[in-house]
Amino acid sequence: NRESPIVVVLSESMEPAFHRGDLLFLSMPAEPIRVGDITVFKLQGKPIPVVHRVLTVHDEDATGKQYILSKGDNNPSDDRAGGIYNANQLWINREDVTGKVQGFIPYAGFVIIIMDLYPHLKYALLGVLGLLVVFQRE
Amino acid sequence: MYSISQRANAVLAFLVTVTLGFLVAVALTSPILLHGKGLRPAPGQNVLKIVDAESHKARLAFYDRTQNQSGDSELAIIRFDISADLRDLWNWNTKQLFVYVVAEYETDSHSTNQVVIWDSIIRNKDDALIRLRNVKGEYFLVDINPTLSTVSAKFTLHWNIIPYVGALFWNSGGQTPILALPAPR
Repeated sequence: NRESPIVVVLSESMEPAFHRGDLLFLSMPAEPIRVGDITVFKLQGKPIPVVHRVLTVHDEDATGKQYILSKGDNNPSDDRAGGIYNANQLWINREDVTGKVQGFIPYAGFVIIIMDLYPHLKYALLGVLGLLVVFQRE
Repeated sequence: MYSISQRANAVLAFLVTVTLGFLVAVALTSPILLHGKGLRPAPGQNVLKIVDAESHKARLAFYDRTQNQSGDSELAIIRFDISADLRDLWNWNTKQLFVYVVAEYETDSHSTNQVVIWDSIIRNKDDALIRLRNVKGEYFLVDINPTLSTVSAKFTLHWNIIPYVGALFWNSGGQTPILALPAPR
C-alpha cells in the first residue's frame, strides 16, 4: 500500500517550521518511529492526513505495536488533549503513519492548493493550454 | 519567426529551472556545512543536569476513559538545568532548531519508552546558546502503564535542524546518568 511520497502543508499547526503551501518529501523508514520524528498520519474517518511531531513513544513487547502520541509544534496541547485524535482515541500506532518528513521545499505546494481551492482555475489553465496547442499547429 | 507565446514559454521554463537549481544547490550545502557539527564542546559534558524529580498520583482525564483503569496514575514533574552551545549548527540554510529533552526508560511490558518533557524553538544563532536553570518540564512524564515509581530513566537533549530548503537533520547529546524516579508524595 504505497502512499504518496509528497504532501502539501495545509495548516499552521507546525509553524514556524512549515507553513501552508510548503511541499514535504516523505519516506517510510524501516526503523521504529522515535520521538522528534515529524510524521504524516491518517485518522479513521478523516480524509485529510495530519503532519505532526512525535511526543511520546511506547514499544509494546507482547505485540510489537508502537503507541505514539503526537503534537503540532504550534499547538498548545498534544493531539489527544487537543481533540485532533478521534473521540476516545488515546494513541496512534505505526500502522496509522504513512510517512516521515525528510525534507521540503517552501511554498512550492501553493500551485496545488490554488488548484484545489479554485477548480475553475484548473479548468481555465487546461483550456488555455488546449487553445495554445490548437493555435500553434503549423 | 518565434511567437510571443513561444518566447514566454521559454523564459518561464528557464526561470523555473534556474530557481529549482538554486534551491537544490542551497539544500546541498547543508549536509556539507553541518558535517561534524553539534554541541560545543563535544561530546557535551554537563549539558543536562536533573535538579529535581517529583512524582504525584493523579487522576488523569484520559485514563478515566479506558475501561480497565481505576483512574489513578502516577506522573513525574522533572526540573533540570541546560547548558548547551548549539551555535555551530547555524548556517545560511538554518531556519530554526527544535530542541527537546527526552526521558528514556524500559519497563517490563515495554522495552523502549521515550517521553518528551520539554521543547523549545530557537530561531536565531544567539538563542542557540542555551543557559537555563531550574527549568520545569512542560510535559508530565507519564507512562502508558499507570505506575511510574519502578522506572529509572536517562535524559538526553535532542535537536532537529529545520532548513530554509532541503533535508531535515536530527541529532542528540548530553545524556544524563540514570535517575530512579521517586515514589509519589
